[in-house]
Amino acid sequence: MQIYDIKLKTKIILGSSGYPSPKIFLNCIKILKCEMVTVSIRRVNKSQDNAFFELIKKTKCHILPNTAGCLSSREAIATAEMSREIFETNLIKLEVIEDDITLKPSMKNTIKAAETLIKKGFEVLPYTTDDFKFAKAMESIGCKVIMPWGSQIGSGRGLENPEKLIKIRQEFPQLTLIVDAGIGRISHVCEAFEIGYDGILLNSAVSKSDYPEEFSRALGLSVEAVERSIRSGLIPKRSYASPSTSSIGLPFKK
Amino acid sequence: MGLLVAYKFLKLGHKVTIFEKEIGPSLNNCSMTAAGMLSPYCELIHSDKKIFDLGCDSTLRWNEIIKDLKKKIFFKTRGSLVLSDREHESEIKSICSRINKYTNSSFSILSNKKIKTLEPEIDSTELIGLFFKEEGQIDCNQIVDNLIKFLLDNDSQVRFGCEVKKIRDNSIFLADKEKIIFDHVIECSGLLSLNNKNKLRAVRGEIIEVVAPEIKISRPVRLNHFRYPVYIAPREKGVYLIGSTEIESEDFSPVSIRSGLELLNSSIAICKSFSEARIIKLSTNCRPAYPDNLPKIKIKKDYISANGLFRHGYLLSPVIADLVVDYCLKDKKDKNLSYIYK
Repeated sequence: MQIYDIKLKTKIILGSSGYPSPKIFLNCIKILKCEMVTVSIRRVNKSQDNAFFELIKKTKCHILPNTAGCLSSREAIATAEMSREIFETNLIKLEVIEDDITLKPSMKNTIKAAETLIKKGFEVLPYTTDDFKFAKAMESIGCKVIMPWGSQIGSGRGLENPEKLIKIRQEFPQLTLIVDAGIGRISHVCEAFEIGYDGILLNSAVSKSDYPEEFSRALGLSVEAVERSIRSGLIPKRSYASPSTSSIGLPFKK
Repeated sequence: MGLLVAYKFLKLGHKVTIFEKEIGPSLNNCSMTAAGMLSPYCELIHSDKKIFDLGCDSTLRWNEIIKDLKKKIFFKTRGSLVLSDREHESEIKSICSRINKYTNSSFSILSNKKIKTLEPEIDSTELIGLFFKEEGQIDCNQIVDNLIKFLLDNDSQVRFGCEVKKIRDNSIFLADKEKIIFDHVIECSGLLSLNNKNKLRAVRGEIIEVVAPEIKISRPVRLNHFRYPVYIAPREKGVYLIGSTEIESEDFSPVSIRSGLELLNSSIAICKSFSEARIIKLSTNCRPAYPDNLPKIKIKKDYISANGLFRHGYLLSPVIADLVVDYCLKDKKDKNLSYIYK
């Protein structure tokens, strides 16, 4: 999976919040052989030491700072700048939400923030809805990676509008597309890859499960399974029956 | 933690000297910025089952200590409530099944009517929840003050304003380079630990203390909102502690507006009368935690460190204190708790 200049071998980006302990989070990274994790810095005072960040840095994973919870482009830009100082990376997962309840990304403010951040040299990974116009706008201002939601953050409802996600995939074959948010089950992960997405970003499905490490094992196996199945060549979906055994000449058929 | 270890040694007839960096007698460490909830079941919502196993008899242990101190200390065992909005019933169902699975219990979700029977002042008609009758709470200020008083009254030395600069095995070195040798040196200094600092991390917590004499909530109540969680822990004289934030940062700066708004807003969701409560104190502190969020007892000859109690200080300190004492006096480690010893 290509994230700007970084080539990842794995297709999962793991969120870092809400695990029972940092140790369990680190174990999940290890189990998944995860190469990129996303970290929120919004409530962090940058002048303070942060042992949690230091633990993550030690994993050698690429760190993708995010602007989770920012309600305005100004707030998101300031958060991105702070994250660049802390993590010494130009990567930023840009989240600018419309409100605190739905956490729906704001198209207007995400575009505004992304334009400024790209000018400042950031490599922006915007969190968008599954609206094609939103994705189009991000592509036209220079984002090489787009992260449409499957459904609302933390909802675990999976890909609510797969047709819309497929349209984005079809229109932007050159972009890296990652389903971000809404993944709750292994079946959602498989569906995302089956419709051609390059990766998934998930957090709550792992961190809030009763046994995050066990879920991670299942996740790793599922990614391997779905990749193998795709490589083997999936049959197209058809709107008509297609018997696997020819029925011509069957004796005694009424 | 340190005071409790000292108390246990003293009860067994040993001489104890406590070194405390702060001037005292009132302290400003994270033990004083805590709600003192003794809630092993509630902790299962976010914590390892080991926390439940270690803390399940915490109220009994505290009960014995308080009886022995023979002082009036606010300590209640009326249980505690975990609430959730009816709209998010799946959340509370998930918590219920997790707790039942881990503890082999059969808790069931209480209706709003039953919740109101327990706590009539909870005025939302949309809240349902779980009740854990074995849980309790303790007033942190009162227990700390009384433990200090007990130690002083029983010929222990409590050297306030005395900073230990170095610990080597059973010797300590003070700022003026004075060296003092003991049979055992037990370090319970949280994030200020001299010998374990690099393994510990700080997790910031914020508490808002309000007074609302007209509200009569009698037991700790947690609102398990997936976005805006909050607990309300009652104290004497109409005082309530409102908190729940947990931020991964060694940040001792004052309470942020956002945290304040979220905590107070959530408290009003439980009982509207909190809107007229008066804020008397806002406090923040950082709790020491190891990467697995479990406490550790580290032993090196006659030096022992007890640390990393994270947000379970009052729940776990009685059992950890006993483990420290058992090790010092009997050279005995609990075989079932190997993850604690280092």
